[in-house]
Amino acid sequence: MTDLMWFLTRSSGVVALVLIVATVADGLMFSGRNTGTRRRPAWWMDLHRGLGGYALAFTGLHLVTAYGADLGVGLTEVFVPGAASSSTTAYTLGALAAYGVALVVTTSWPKRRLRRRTWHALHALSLPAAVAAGVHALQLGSDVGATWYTLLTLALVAIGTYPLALRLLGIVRRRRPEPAMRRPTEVAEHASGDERVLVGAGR
Amino acid sequence: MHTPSPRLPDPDPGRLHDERDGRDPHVTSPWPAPVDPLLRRPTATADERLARLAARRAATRPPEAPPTSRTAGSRAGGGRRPHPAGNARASALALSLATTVGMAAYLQHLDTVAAAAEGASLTISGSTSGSTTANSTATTATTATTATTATTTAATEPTAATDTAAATTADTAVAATSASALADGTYTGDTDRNKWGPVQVQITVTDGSITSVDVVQYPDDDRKSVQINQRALPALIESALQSQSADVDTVSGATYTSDSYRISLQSAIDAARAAATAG
Repeated sequence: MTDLMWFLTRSSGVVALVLIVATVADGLMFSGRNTGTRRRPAWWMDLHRGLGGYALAFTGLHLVTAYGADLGVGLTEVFVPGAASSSTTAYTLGALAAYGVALVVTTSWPKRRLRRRTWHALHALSLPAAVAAGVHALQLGSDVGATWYTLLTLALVAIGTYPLALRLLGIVRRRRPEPAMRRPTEVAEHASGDERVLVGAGR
Repeated sequence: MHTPSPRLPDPDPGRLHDERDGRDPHVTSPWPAPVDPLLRRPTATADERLARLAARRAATRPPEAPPTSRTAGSRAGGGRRPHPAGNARASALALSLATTVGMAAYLQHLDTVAAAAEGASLTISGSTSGSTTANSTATTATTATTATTATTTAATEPTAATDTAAATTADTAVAATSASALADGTYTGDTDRNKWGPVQVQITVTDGSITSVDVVQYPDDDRKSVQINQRALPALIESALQSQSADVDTVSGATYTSDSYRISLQSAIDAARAAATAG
């Protein structure tokens, strides 16, 4: 049973990390209006919610199997950040990531009961939670160094970075001030030849 | 002579008077309301017609289904699908579950293959003649522990020539200071217990220098400890062989094992030094 838990906690941790990154990527693409026209926005939103729920479920499975796998860590070390005596940073990041995922997902279910600004601030925790989960996996993962793990990590970084870059670019474009309308006199100053004649004739 | 009926000023001159019921509401007509020639009853006003229309629609509309949990709230009615991406969500869930189980089976397969290749138990050792590796042995954990206990008392074989040989062959300052007083033989250090389990080190001294370090006991009650120690102990052994002393650096992620390793190694070196002094 302990062996089964040991292998399940490794696999469920990897799957949970993939689901977290996929959820964040979906949300970033959706909020940045980069989901294309093939699917309706409601489809992407529904998928985003579903993936978030699954990510939380597999994070819970990872915690339960880690506790049952006799890893030498207790509930306090798992759930209290900074309580682990060894690999403190890795365990702390894992606990914080789990709390972040739980907070983001559970506050999205009764979203309508929260003010949008409050919900958005809580929802933005998904990004640091995903990063913390990734660092936790790299520091504490038993399969770090395996080729498949390295390739998976690179793929997840790419999947998470691309929509994040698109989202940030969209924010920058929206905040860039629109060029002011030129007054006719300015147009006349920049015009030349026949254009200047036309501008002058229009006055 | 016809006298027009009194009229009030029209508040909206652009509005047609027959827009509602064909009569000017501001005109108080002395005539009865117009009669529908087909129904033989007075023509209804617009409000009455709207009320009748609403009643007919309410009578012909099928009764609304009671709201369920899937259609409650804002999703009730309207015919919207509760989960537009239901198929994708189900696929993602099935894929996640299959990946979890399949990966667990794959990791177990890898672990089984690795265990078969390395043997049932591991004694991590290293020597100055070769690189420090995790070597497999044919002994089981219990027999290894028993043998360790036996060698604790019987392994000391001090010779008179070791001090001179060690002093002449030591090519580094560290080795000259730390190994010159060691008697040749095999020495097993004390067992130091930390929160993860016992650590016991056995050293082999040849020509006054430590030529081999074996970790005969280390925490192996759980897979995580085995994994950590398989990574940490070779580094600790390599460090001990290089420094020829118990002054080894702590391996990151194996703090407790490193501390216990130092304690046990120091006791083994002390035993070798005591044997040299006694001899």
